[in-house]
Amino acid sequence: MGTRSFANSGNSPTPLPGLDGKALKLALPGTDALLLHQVLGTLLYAIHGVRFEEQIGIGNAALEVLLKGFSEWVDACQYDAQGVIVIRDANGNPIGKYEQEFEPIEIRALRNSLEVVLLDLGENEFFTITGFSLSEGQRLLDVLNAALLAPLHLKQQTNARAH
Amino acid sequence: MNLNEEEARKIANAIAFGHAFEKHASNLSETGELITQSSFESLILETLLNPAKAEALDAGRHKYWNAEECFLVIVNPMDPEMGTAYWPTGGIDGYKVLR
Repeated sequence: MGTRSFANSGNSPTPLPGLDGKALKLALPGTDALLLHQVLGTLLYAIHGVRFEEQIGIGNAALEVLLKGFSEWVDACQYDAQGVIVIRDANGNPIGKYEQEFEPIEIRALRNSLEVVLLDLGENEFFTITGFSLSEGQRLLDVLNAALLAPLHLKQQTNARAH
Repeated sequence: MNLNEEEARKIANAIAFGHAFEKHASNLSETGELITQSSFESLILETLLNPAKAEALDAGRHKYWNAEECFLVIVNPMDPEMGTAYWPTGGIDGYKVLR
């Protein structure tokens, strides 16, 4: 997938501290792309009382734009005879990849969305509604956090000392 | 997933008397009326037996849509409570978006 313009929610053009970096490319395995699709759909269409700007960092219209990208990818996936998305191979490994450039504020919105849905649905409902376990959600949260810190090149600095 | 009445009753009871009632239905229904646990159970049963739409989902789950009540039931055989049920804020989009 290529780049596309940021789904701006109409905020001030003044760069925010920590969020004025360049667009970052995310290459998500198919299972992670499906999980984010489920998360955004749940947040936008199922959970009552979400304060999007405050909790997610972008408005619901901007989040709809992000969902549209994931939905197009999900719609293009393979489906079995029962109409169930085929997202893993016979060994349980993810099929496909969702590659997209995101602005840091969008990745943060994805991270925040996942966090809110994890906390709101909890153990009782996260698997039932998304089809993924809490631990899979937590792992993806780590992936998104790492992506947000990618500009720091932390892995290359592991041998450096602060003092 | 076509359910017979016995299966549907078992699922409706498990969902209605699980966490879903307190989380989604203990205060108000979509129409703003108070809903009891037994009427919640009846609504789930009606949705399972006569859905406007029903589809299989990933991970062995199934979703059922009650168009009249804008009500969604998700059956998850791996859940001890057999799933959940709620009124999606986005109406039928809340049904369609689930895979």
